[in-house]
Amino acid sequence: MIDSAQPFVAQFERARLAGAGSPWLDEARRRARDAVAEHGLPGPRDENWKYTPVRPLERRGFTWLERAPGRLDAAGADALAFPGLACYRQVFENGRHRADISGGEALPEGVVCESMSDAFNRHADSLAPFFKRSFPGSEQAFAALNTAFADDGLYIEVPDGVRVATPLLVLLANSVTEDRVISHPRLILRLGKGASLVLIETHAGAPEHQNCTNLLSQVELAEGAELRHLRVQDEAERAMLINRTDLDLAANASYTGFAIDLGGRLVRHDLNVALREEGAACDLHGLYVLGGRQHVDNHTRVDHLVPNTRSSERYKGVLDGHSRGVFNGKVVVHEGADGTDAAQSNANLLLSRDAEIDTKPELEIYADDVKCSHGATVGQLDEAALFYLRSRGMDLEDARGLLTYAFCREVVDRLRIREVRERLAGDLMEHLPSGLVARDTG
Amino acid sequence: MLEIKDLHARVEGKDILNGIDLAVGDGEVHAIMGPNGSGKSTLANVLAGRDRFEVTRGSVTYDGENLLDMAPEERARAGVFLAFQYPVEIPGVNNTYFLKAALNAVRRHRGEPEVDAMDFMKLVREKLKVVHMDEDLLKRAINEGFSGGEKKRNEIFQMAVLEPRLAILDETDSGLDIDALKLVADGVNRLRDGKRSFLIVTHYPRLLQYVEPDRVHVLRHGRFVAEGDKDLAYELERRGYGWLDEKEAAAS
Repeated sequence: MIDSAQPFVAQFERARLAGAGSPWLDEARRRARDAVAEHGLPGPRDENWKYTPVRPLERRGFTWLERAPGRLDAAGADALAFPGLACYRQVFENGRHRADISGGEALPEGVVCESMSDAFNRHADSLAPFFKRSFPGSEQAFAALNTAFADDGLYIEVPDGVRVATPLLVLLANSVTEDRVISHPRLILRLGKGASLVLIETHAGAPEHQNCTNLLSQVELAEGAELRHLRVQDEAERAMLINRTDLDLAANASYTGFAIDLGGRLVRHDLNVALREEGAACDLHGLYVLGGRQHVDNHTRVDHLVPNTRSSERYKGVLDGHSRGVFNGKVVVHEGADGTDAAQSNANLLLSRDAEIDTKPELEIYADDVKCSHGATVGQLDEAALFYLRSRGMDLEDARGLLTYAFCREVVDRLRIREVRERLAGDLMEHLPSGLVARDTG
Repeated sequence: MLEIKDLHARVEGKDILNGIDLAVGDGEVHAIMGPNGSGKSTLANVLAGRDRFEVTRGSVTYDGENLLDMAPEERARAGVFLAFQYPVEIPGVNNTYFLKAALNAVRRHRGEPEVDAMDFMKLVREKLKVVHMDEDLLKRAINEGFSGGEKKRNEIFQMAVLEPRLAILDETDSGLDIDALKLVADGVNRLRDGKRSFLIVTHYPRLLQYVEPDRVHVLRHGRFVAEGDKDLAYELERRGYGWLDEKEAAAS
């Protein structure tokens, strides 16, 4: 067994997992455990992990919890995610579902939204294919770990033709416990033909916690289904998050994603989109605002598998202090996928000499008739714009703050729900080094 | 109010200004004319404090203070205003918001109370009339998608709101058709109150038909080569800048 896998495998032997005893689940978990034992965690030799070392995770030592510590109450949950927003809320504390502080606006009839431990019994046939999916190799070790341990999370199913107007808010909160905790929540989401949903995923926690969340989400969008997904990560200063989302889109399905990172110490996102049938489309928006010693890595991959699919991707970042950002955006246009339209960009502002961004757009094209573009920029604030603002009486610091804020606002302004947009605009100010915008929002 | 003595400046290692002397009194309008590359815009930018221009010699006193020691924002708050030759587009920063922040920065400096949103809008509507500008432009980002004429008018509008002591117009007339030029000139004339001073940098004498200067200075190779009253501008209009070469040649 590889050393880095050892503590996790030992944990696995002791863990009493919900759903144990179902042969399909036991089998899937054992296979996942074996994959981790064989390959270990990703290391410097894994191309996709070379900028994001997971040594801190190995060094720290995390325990695995069977139940939520119960330190979070309803008011605390309100404060962590969009207070006042009319929504249906599902709360997790340290990866454990908190039914007692979940609920809210009613969902339409026929919509399933159950904690994973309940769903194991009631929806085994639907879940099995997702758990049977294998994740070989050290690069996918965290997804395999999730399959081995995931006995909590959510199963969501929206039937054909049902358009859910109420946003579904999934709050993944972390609270402080005696030991550092690692959790492996699983989210499985299926939208039927022509169904639609707005999903807001929030990662936040108590300021002092040092937990690690290893979330795996699997999403299936049937023909013509539409998902708008906002993920906001505003975690504690020493929090770790490993987050992978796999999406599978059928004909004319569409996915609009907003990935916003403000907090956390070590954060890794893998967003994989398979455009499996004609007319499928995705629009990926991202924003990371980093400072201190934060490290945030966004790996995205879009597979154009058939003709006439479309993807766009636009990620922006602001890096201050000693922070480090990684952007790797891969677009693969497969053989025969003519008529593909793919545009990608990554723009970064470096506010400090010690901040660093590693950006790599990757385009692999195996078809002839395609329209593809990509580009990455790394820069400082525009000197002419700074001088213009100062020449009207604005402080240098205020002018910097205002221009940086404007750079970020462009992403946030695309969000449709007013309460969400305003809250995030406020959060942005707290994360930006600026006096002016904090004083007066205009 | 403004006294420039033996001013030398360079940009990217190249000498542009080679000894400028100029005194501007309260309420005076001075025109700085000259062909392309003579250093007109450099002079305007040096006075506003753009740091890519390096002052190598000389002094600039503004109301008894060393202007060159002040940061651009300090100059602005003390009443120096530059109307840009190429106003910058700043996506994501709302025009109204920006102007209110700027006005309040100036007011704080003067020891005046900050204006609230309501008083500000009242002031804005009044000043918009000066330049005949559409209020809708203010709802947009700074200069974003503005036409050339709209950008220039926005500069004059900002000037009207900020009420500077010394207004420097850097080729505000270039690229304007005659109607836009008249609007700009009208805006400037309305702001002439006997105390506010103007430095009008221009290539063409056209604007000076509508804004009558007290003095005209002609800049060439970073030096003033001719000075006079408004008639000098008409002389240049008739005879072009080449006439100065002949004059210079005859003098030597």
